[in-house]
Amino acid sequence: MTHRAFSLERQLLLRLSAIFLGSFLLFGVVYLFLIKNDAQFHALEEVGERAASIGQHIHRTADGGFTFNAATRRMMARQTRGAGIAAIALPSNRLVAGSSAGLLPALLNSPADAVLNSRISLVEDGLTVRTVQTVHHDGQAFRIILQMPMSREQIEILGLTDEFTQEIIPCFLPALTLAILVTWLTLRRRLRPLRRASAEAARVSVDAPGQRVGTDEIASEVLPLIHAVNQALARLEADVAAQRRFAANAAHELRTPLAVLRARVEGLPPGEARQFLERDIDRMSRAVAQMLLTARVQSRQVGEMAPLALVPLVREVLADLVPLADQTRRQLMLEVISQPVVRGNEAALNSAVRNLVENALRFTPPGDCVRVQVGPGATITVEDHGPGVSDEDKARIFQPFWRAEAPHAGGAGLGLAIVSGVMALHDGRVTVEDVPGGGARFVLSLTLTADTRPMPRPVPA
Amino acid sequence: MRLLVVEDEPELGRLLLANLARLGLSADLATDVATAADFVSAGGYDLVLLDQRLPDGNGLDLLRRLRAKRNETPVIVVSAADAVQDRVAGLHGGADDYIVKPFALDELVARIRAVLRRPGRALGVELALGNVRFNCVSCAVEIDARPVLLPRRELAALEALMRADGRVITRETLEDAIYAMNEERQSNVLESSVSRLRRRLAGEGATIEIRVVRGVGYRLVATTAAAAPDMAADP
Ligand SMILES: Nc1ncnc2c1ncn2[C@@H]1O[C@H](COP(=O)(O)OP(=O)(O)O)[C@@H](O)[C@H]1O
Ligand SMILES: [Mg+2]
Repeated sequence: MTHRAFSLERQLLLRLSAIFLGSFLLFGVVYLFLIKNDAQFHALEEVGERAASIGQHIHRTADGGFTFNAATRRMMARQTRGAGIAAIALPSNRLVAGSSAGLLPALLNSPADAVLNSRISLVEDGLTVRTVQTVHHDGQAFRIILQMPMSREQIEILGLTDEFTQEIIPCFLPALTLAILVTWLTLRRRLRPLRRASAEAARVSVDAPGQRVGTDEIASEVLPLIHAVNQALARLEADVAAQRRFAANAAHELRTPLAVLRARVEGLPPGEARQFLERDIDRMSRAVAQMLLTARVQSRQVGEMAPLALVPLVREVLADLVPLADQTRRQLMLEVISQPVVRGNEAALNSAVRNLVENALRFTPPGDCVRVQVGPGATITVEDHGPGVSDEDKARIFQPFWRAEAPHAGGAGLGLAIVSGVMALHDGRVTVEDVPGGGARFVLSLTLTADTRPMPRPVPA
Repeated sequence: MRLLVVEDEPELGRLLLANLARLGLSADLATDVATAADFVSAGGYDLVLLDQRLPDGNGLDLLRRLRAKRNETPVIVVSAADAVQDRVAGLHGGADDYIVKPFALDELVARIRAVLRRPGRALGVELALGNVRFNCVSCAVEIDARPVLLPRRELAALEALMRADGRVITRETLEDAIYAMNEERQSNVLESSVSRLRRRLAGEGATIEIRVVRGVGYRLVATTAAAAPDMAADP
């Protein structure tokens, strides 16, 4: 099960923005409810504005009369029951244009003060608004009488849009924008130290002791976490240092008495007893060396990494092992396919190759030749014709202390664990496969560095 | 031939001296950095066997001090740590070789011999294997007491192989030996020089032979059971 990470910044920003926006809308609704009583005022205002606009758009016709413009005429055509419009020229008080003929006489025949006053009358599902506006246009004064029925909804929407566009939005939108902006900036600013702390925490490694997570500008709620992490780091570092010291001391304290023992046995007169003792000491020395090396590799404690040419490195290892091959009546040969250069630690890679070749010399039958190959690419292959490694053993031979056979003078079952540890330190891999016809083939795969020359040199027959 | 053994573990120091003496190598013992420094500056040692952890300091510091004072006495560093980290530090500090405790006496003597056979060192003047003798100063080669003239590259190859004292010498090292500095390298020069040298040795009746380790390098082996030259008998 994977846990989907969420962004605190995103979440806070979204939620706070939603709260701001929600309360803004809520406020608007409450406000509208409160101003509902102003509806008649808004209706009158709206109709009055329309009447004024109509008056502004009266044309003089060719025959000297007057007419409404096209928009007004379209509006008149759509007129509903109870609506009417009339334009009266002043001061002659003559009707020059009008609609809703049935209504006009009633309008015109109303008492003068009634005509001349704007009026709102309540009808069962809304209002009927009549407005009278005097407009000067085109050198002529008109009185425009406009009567419009309006439904409740129309009036409410009118009030809403008016209030929103004229009062609420101009006042609250900047406040809303500012609130969201400030929230976002604050979040970003306060979370930046956390991002920095994460980057610092990512640099922590046993190879970089002393790396801590900084507490500058960290929020007080997070500070305890950072302190706890730093304390854990300090404890771990002390543990690693103690372990490394232990390994170094163990190396010294084990190797020195072994060296004394060895020197003492070598002072004995030659004979069978001395031979056996020397062999036992060899075996013990090897086991000690392999254990210390394992401890080192596992605590990632190897020396500096540098560009390394693999062919000379493998040649040195093989040249060193020729006496062992002679002793055990096996041969060694190297085939050079490429001249890879990798970034690595010479001594560590040296012991990885040595362990593989020592195993191969042990398992391949006497008189046989162990074939080592460098390339293609940054690979080193060691091949023997021994019993090979069964499929079920292929995974576990790399575990420390694992061995298929009874203990022998070879070692403590740590060789391949060292090989795979060294490969891990180099971001490489060790694999084992079968050789057709019997035998094991171990392959070390590393990463080429840029300065590798592809040119293979001719190899002597 | 005189060695200085710097070792603070008294039992080990005593046993080493006794074992070396049985092989005809005389050695003195110093148990700390200060004494060792006094002994070395008094001079007269052909080689120093230097332990690393000493009661009054690290052997590598003494080594650096010696090299800073242009004292080129050969030094083999002995360490009780493992090789992963320290080998490089030892060799970069100016050591001629490096050996890890516990070591076999044979191994130690082989390394001492190899270091002393380098050019200009105690055993680096007159090299001998089988019936072949090589004088490194005059570059004179004698096979079965008869002088033999060799071309430059074959001479250089023979010298390098004889200094290696039976150990395998890698192609890279041998190539470095047969080319003059800045000389352009060509493929197959190494192989042809070695095979000409091998034919010549056989033709002159030498009791040594160049063996190939395929792809790795070359080594000299004595074909007759000629006694190994006694180190202590060398000048
Ligand atoms: N080349 C090989 N052929 C067959 N089996 C091998 C080979 N190399 C290693 N093994 C198996 O893997 C085991 C572990 O090897 P290693 O870790 O080197 O320990 P050791 O050499 O001390 O036994 C060996 O005991 C052996 O059983
Ligand atoms: Mg092994």
